[in-house]
Formats: sequence, structure tokens, C-alpha cells
Amino acid sequence: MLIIMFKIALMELKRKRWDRRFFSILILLAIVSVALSIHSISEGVKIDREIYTINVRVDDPKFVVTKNPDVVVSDGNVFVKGDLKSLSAFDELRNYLRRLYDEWIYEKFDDSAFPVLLRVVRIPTKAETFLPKPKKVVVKEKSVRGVLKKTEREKIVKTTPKMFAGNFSKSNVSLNFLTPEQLRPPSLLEKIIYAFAFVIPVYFVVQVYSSSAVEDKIKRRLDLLFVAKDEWKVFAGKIIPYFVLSSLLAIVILTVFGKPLGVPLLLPVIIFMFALSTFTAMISRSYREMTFLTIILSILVTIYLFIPAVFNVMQFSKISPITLLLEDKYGLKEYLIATLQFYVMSAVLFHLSINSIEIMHSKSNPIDKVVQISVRTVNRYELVLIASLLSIPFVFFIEFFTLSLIFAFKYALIVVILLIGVIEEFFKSVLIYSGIRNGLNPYACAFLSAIGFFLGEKGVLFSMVSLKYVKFTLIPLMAHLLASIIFVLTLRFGFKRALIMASSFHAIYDWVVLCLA
Amino acid sequence: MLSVALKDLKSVRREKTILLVIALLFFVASFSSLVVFGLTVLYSPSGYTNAVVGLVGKAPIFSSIVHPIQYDSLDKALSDLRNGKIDAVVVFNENVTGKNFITIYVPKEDLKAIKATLYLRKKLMEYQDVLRRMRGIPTLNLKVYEDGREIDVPEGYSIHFRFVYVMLIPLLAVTTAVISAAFLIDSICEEVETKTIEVLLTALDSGEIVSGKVLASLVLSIVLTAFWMVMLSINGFKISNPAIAFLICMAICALFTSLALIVSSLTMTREKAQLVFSILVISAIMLMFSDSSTPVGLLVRVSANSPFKIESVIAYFILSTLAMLIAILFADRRISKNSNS
Repeated sequence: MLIIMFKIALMELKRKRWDRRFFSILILLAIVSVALSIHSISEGVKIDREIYTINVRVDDPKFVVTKNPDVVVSDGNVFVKGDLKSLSAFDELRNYLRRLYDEWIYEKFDDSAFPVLLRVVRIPTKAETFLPKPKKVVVKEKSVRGVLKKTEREKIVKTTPKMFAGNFSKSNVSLNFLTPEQLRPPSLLEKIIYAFAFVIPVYFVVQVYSSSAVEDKIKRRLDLLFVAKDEWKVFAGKIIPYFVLSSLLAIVILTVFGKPLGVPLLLPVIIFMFALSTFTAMISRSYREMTFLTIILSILVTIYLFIPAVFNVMQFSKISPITLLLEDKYGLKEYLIATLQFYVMSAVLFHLSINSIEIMHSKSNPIDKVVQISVRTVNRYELVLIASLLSIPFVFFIEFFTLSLIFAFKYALIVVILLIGVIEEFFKSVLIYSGIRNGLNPYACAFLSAIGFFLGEKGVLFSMVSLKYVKFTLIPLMAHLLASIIFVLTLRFGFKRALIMASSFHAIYDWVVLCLA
Repeated sequence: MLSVALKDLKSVRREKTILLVIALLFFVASFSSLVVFGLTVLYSPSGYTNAVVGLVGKAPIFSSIVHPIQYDSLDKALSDLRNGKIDAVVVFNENVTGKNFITIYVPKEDLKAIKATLYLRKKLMEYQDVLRRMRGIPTLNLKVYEDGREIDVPEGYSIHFRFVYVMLIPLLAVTTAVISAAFLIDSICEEVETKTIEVLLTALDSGEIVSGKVLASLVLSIVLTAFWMVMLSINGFKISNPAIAFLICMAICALFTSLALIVSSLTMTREKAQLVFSILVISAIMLMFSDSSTPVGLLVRVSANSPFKIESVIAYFILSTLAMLIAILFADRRISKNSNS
């Protein structure tokens, strides 16, 4: 069995042995590209030069002197226009002036100019963890560069009063002090930029794989392989070389950046990217569609990974492995919350890909194909329940983007509620429809898919907050069940109409709950 | 030429992929509203004027500024912090003449950490100024006026502006360019690989085919750019000089598309072309963000209503048109040579 997989892997490698000229050009380009990128990163983002206007010359490249400026400095006062740009210009001017001022008073008065020095200790609070009160305070030191030179900082540390030292004698942390200006809230954007360095190289490898997969499909090479070998072995064999390469890349990059703990966090993401590209390769009808789907899905996955990490101060940010990656510390529970969804989605996508072989050349659109594959696989009662449970991560993934619409425009809330109704009912209905097509009892399928969904949703909720914050009521279950029964009853008018009926009920229910809350 | 362009655009419409792309740009635009909303909430002046601070130790001057709740023991204060009764704990004994080493406890993660930190930052800066004045050190006293009234500009106010004009708009422009370029690579390589290009060549010459495909990808980028620009203004982000900004976006698209055209006519297979293009495009994007004289830097200044030279807009437009023409000629020669051999 393993031998077959390795044979296919070898075949893949052989086929990929591009002619030597192309290969050397590729290596050369990659080197040039990496060099240019390193150069650009070290130079920093400089497109913000001369974006603000001012009436006097300042030694900050963001400002340029013009006649009708955003900020006017006169007699030690600043005058602004009151629009976003003008106020932002003042904010940045203030930072610049503070830097100048700090340098000046440090020169003149030495460290007595800095009478207040801070040390920040961040402790977990009840509102955040929902865990029983820890017996000992776990201290995590926030280390930030200080304005003082290292030797001066050491001098200060030595003279620090030992007043409360007893409480932290075990914490074994190095002390760093900040001035009040340097006291910053948890950073939102900066760390994210360099986290991209972990993911981008992996995307390249996945891209080569997906090209190869779709080429094999369009040139009908896959058909030949599937005749001779088990489907999953073919996929596994094709993926192995790329998977090994991208994992190695990830390990090297994470080690270079000093984050070896991040490897188990990135692995499920890499697996998920492979699963996703396998699936898109199987269901797309042309290169163009494949490219569109790949670009869109990689951007969506990137958003899904990175936006929660931007808001790393909120509980929901824990759904992204990138948040944990940047924090450097995580337990098993956190690991599971962040990565389980990717493992589940990967498994489901591989399963769907394997079952999509007979329809891979069909010209129907991707959504129809998903329905067709579901009909082929969900053919027993227990599978309706399991599939409904396993669809939760996908629903969650899609709803994550839907929820973002709330802030997009006026009345968006109604649209969001409608969309959420459609999304949830679509997944449930596809499963019920598949069950019915395979001769199962419609009502039993409706019940199973509703209960699977209910359990899945509650499971997600439990993983985010503690048990005592979740009310046990059967009303949501009833709502899911009723919506599914509506679907079954109206199915004879067609799938789309039945879906609309069930979703409308779902949306109305959500609306009522929202109004009552 | 037109017929080729129409054929390509029709296939996009038939596959409904264009809808997905538009949905994507829509999501990106709404996500930006979400991020901006988050940033505004986090940095709004009302957000940090009411944090409750606990104090352990004696600090009369500090107390007169912050009005903290006094605690006798650190344990009691920390337990109140954990229970959410107070937002931060400050530990020190005030030293009017020497240094004050202050330990601050804030919640590890929570919105409360931001609230407490921003509040304490403001108050501790006031405190530092008071101590400095007592020691005869001049303080930095910046007053800002709008229409003759003194106003308060919250710390970090510029994040919102920077996010929209220095990050979001450039990223949307570049994403559009990458999508249209990738579209061109596919539409050429697919014809070559499935050998349908030979059928096309019997009716049209290669120059017409290539320019038709380029036209289709340019139409795509025009639609997408117009779409995200409208989306941004609906969401309340004002793009100044929209016509000029649009021209610059088109120039960026044309530059990326010519690169894509040259790469695909050199390799002639989708797999190689997409790989080479992605490698090149990453460094191209990096370079474009690393200097303010690049088209992306120009786009930032134009859309933010900052000073820019109209000559550089014209120069980039001419440059990108030339690049496009050279790429088309090059591709024409490669394809006709390929089909003859």
C-alpha cells in the first residue's frame, strides 16, 4: 500500500523534473525575489511619505510643506481642520514632537527627566478565562524596548525597591521599564505583518500542487491512475512531495524566527490548504475557474487566519492558530480550539474529493457538484448525523465572513440574518435531500440533521465559554427541527423553493430571538 | 480582436466566477469597515475616560490625578482585578524627588486591557508632567485648536487613516491587478495547452488573439476597480481625485498584465507561468510598497488628497502603455513562431 503511494510520489517528482534551463531560471528568480523582498522589508513600508501637509519644515518624511496644510503650527499651538486626515496628521505630529522633546530633556536633565518608570504585569482575569480562580498568580512580563539604554536599565533594575518582590520570586522574569509614553495597548497590526512570512512560502508550494492536480485532471491523466489504484492513494502519493517540501519550509522559517512551537500550529493549516486545493481542482471546470477559486479561497483563508489575530485581545481570536503562534504559548485545549476545525475540514474535503471522481469532468457549477457529491456519500442514517456534525466548521467559516457584513452598510443586520438562515439551512437541507435520494425516511433525516447541527453548535459554544454561561434549552433544537421539517414538506415544489421556505423560517426565528434578547 | 475578448469575457460570465471575485472584493471592503469599526471603538476618547484603578501604596499626588481605590494588600487588589471589579492595579510608594518605579497590573487579554492601558497611559503622562514641573523640568504642552476651540485628539487616532489609505487602498489595487494578470495567464495557456489556439489561428492572426485576450483582462480590471472604489465610498471612505486614482490603478494593472503576458508567452504552460509569475509578483509588490515614488505610493497620495505631481501620473500611464505594447508584440512573435514550428 505504501509502495503504491511512493510510486505515485516518485512519478510526480519525475514529471516535475522540468528541463534544466527552466529549473535554473526558477531558482535564480526565487533568489532575486527573496533578495528584493528582504531589501524591501528592511527598508520598511515607505509609501506613507509626504502624506500629511504642514506649514513649517519638520524632520519627519511623512510631512511636507504646502500652502493649504492639514496642520498649522504657530506660537507653540497647533491648528487643525477637523477632518480625519487633519486630525491624523496632528496625532502623528504629536508623536514626532514627543520624540524630539524626550531626546532634548534627556540631554539636558539626564535620567532625572524621567521620574515615572513602569513595569507592566498582565494577569488572567475571570471575565476572560472563565476558569476557577488560580491559586497562584501567573505572571507574564511584557517586554518592550525602553527609551533608556541597556546599562541604564540594568542600573535601575538593581536599585528597584524589593517591596513586592515576594510575590514574584518564582516568576523568574527579566525586568524592563517603560516611560508612560511607551505604555501601549496590546499591538493590533504590527506582528501580523511578519506572521505573513510564515504562510506565504507555503502558499507557493500549494499553488504548484494545485496546478499539477488540475492539469492532471484536465489532461485526463487522473482517470488512468484511478482505474489502477485506490483514489486516496493517488491523492496521497501526489501530495506527499509537496507536503514534505512545505512542511520543511515551515519548520525552517519558524525555527529561524525562533518559534519552533508554531510547527504543530501551522501543520493543520498546511494540510487544510492541500485539502482545499485538491477539492477545488476536482470541482473546477477550467484553469480560469481554478485560478479564481484558488485566489479567492486563499485570500479568505488568510483573512480567517489573520483578522482574529489582529483582535488578539478578544476571546474569539482563539479560533485562529495564528493568534496562538504569535503568543508563543498554548495548552492542549487552546490547541484543539484553534486547529480541530482545520483537521475536520481537511478530512471532509479529502473525503469529498475522493468521491467526486465520477463527476470531475461534469460541466455543472461547483455548488451543484457539492450537492451531487453529498448524494453519493450520505446514504445511511448515521451518516446524516455525522455529516451534519462535521459541517459545523464549514458553516462557522462561512458565517465568520457573513457576520463581517454587519458593519458594511445600513440595514445590513437583516441581510446578515437572512444569509445565516440560508447558509445553515443549505447545509442541513443538502444532507436531508441526500438521505431522501438514497431512500431514507425524510423525517428521520430531518431529525438527525437538526440534532447534529444543534450538538455541533453547542459544542463550538462550549469550547469558547464555560458550561455555566450556556443555557440548556431545547428551543433552538426545536427551531432547527421545524425548519428541516418545513424543508421536507415543501421539497416537492423543488429544492430551491424548499430551501427558501426553510431559510425564511430560520431567519424569522433568529430575528425574534434577537428582538427578545 | 473584439471577438476573442468577448469570448473570454463570456466564459467568465458563464462560469459565474466573476460573481465570486466581486463577492470577494465586497467582503474585503466590508471587512475593512469591521476593522475600522474595531479600531474606532478601541481608540475612541470615551473608551478610556472611565477606567477604575486600584492603588497599593502611598501616592498622594498620583491619587489627586487618578482618584484610585485604595487597597491595603496586593492580594486583595488582584482578586478584585480578577473579578472584574477594577480595571487595573497600580503598585508604588510615591517619591516626589527621586524615581518612581511603578508596577501596573492589567488583565492579560481582554478589551479591558486596552481600556486600562490607554487610560493609565494618559493619566501617567499627566502625572509625569506634574512631577517634572515640581523639579523645574519644562513640559511639552501641546494645544490643538479647531475653529478657535481647543479640542482633544485621542492617542493613536491616525491608525484609522493609515489603515484605509496606506494599507487598504493599495492592497485592493494590487489584488485587482494580480487577479486580472492571473486571468490572462490562464486564458492564454489554456488555449495553448488544449490546442484550441490552433483553431483560432486559422481565423485570426496571433496579434489579434493576444490583444483580444489583453483587452478582456483590462475590461475585467476596469470592472473590478470601479467596483471596489464604489464600495469604499459607500462605506464612507472618501477617495480624493477618483479619476486620477483610477488611472493609476489601471497603470498598475497594465504593468502586472504585461509581466503576465511575457511570462506566459515564454513558458506556454499554465503551471510554469503561474509559478514564475507569483514569484515575480511577490517581489514586485514588495518593491512597490517600499518607496513612495512607485505607482502604489503615488496612489496613496492621490487618494488621500496629499500633494502629488501630475507629471508622474502621466509618466506611469505612458510607461505602462508602452510595457503593454511591448508585451503584446513579444507574445505575438512567440505565438506565431510556436505555431509555425
